[in-house]
Amino acid sequence: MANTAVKIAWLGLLDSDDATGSSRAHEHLATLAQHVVAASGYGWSIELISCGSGPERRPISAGVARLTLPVAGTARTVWDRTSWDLSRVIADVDLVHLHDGFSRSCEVALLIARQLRKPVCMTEWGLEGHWLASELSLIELADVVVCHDRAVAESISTSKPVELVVCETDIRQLGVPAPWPANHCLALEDGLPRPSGAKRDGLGRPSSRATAGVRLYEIYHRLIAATRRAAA
Amino acid sequence: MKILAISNLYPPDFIGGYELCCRQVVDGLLARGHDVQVLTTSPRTPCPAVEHVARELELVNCYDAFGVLHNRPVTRKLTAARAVFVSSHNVHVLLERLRRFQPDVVYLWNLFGTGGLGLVGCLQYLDVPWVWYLGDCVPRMLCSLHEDVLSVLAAEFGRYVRGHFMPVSERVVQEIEAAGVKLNGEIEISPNWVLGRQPPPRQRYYRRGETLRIVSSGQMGRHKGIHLLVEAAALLRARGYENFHIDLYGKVTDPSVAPLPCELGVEDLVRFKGLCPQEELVGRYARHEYDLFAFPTWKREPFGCAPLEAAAYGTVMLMSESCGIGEWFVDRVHCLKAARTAEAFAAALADVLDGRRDLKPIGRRASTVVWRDFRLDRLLPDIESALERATTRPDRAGGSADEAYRLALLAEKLTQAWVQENDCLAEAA
Repeated sequence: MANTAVKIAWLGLLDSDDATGSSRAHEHLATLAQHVVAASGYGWSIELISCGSGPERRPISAGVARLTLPVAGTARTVWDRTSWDLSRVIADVDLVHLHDGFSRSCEVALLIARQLRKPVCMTEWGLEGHWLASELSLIELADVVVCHDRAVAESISTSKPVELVVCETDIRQLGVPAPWPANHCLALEDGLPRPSGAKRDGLGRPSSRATAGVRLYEIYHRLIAATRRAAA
Repeated sequence: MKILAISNLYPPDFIGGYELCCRQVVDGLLARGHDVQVLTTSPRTPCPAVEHVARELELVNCYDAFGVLHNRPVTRKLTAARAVFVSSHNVHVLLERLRRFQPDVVYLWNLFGTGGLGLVGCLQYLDVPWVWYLGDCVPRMLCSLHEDVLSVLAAEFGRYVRGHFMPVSERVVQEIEAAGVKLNGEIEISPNWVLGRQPPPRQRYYRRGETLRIVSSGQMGRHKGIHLLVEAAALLRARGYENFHIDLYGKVTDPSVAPLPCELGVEDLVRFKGLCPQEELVGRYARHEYDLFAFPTWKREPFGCAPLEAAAYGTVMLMSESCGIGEWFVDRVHCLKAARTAEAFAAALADVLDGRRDLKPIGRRASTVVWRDFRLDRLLPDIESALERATTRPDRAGGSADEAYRLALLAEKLTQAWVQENDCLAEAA
């Protein structure tokens, strides 16, 4: 399947950049995506999707692009933003990976992707802390739950397959939303423990993201193949 | 076949012909040996229990007068959204019914007020085969908030929903698709029907000089053109015609039409007779108590069962020139058609009163056609065939009931959040 054109949509985390005024989430996702695409032999493409003053599509590197969709209505916080264009975009991809459990665009994308029977990966960040994700146990709608930290992977409560994709990334550095309707992130000293290996900038060693990219590629490959077999 | 019929209302709780047709076809399928269960909403007023009817769904009645008068705008909007988009409660009830009954096919009727989009989404997700009787443009309604079609939902409906549709007229399909809601799958236009046995040919028809006995039935509102009938009566009186009367059967749904006969000085010619049970009304037609059924309904009338029932017994239909039932009958051959104005209806009635239009050949031809082509027992094999075809579509691995319910809960909460947060739904229209 490496040579077959595969399109993947990534959502989540990017809203936090608007709250922190940084580009750490973008850098984390863009780097990780580059490694996934490289592992595919550059046959695959990944779009990092967020909602803002789009529509805008900006290439980042071979096979990786940043897609900003126009926001629908007036959101109260940056994490409440979504776009009416999400359904059209998701209909066109082979797999959806939601990188957080606290943004509206991820919730809407989850709803659309499941209805369209697209395989869905969910990174555990926010799935147990955000009110809607935890109240409805949205984790149970994932095909695979991705954990970047071994301790979390071993303790997370779900009936779904959990895959450890070590990444040494500190979610606090990327931006965890303060309780709704605050439009800012939690202070760094609040809440979450720093994952093992994470550096002060939160992004971990470069080699850890390269390994994570290969691991994600393997997971996606398996899920897409299974979906195609079921459809056939 | 094990058939689960889903309807927002079910007699004796009903508003119009849609629900009455549902009961008739369910009874017909039961009589032909099928195992049929009905899933509908709890009745608006008490009604007797029936073995095969489960009144377990919640009716989200966004048009109830009390709510419209007293609720705040956001509450009305939330109620409207729940009526058409998704009610997780109703999805749960559906899932339970599917688990217990294990139907071969689901037979959908009017889903307005049940969070119908969620019910259809649930069936799609589980890959349960369905046939949808479209007695109105329900898919369009389910993609709209109040009157505004939400283009994003319309597109999603077209992308996601695929099945077997049985609309009652071409205009129903046109009205749905003109709003951007594409119907994917099989579309089989199939008319409404009458019940009973063909009577002997009617002998007595109106003759010039007699009293022309005009009837209409259904919802007594302006969308059905009741005000036009009253105005036509006033025009006829002004032109010297007194030998006619108009009996109007049905619930007055628009309070503004009730005083019209008095206001226009025709209260002795036009009489509101109140709600009349369907069987009793058919009995009146069978006894030839009326000569002409006037139906000045609106252009978007999907079909119109009431004039069909009258025509079966030789009561000649006078209808708006553009309406659903008009697609099936030819002007001056099986019926009379007029522009939807009081003037045009008055002129058509004057033609009959003056003897320029003979009702007998029209009434006889229409009656023959109705009993030949519009009998339920004649149409039931087609309906059975559609239901059977739906069950034989290729198997796909559907999702689980737990996932379907969780998705319904998610959709419901997201909808509530959207509606309350801002006007983005209006923006999407």
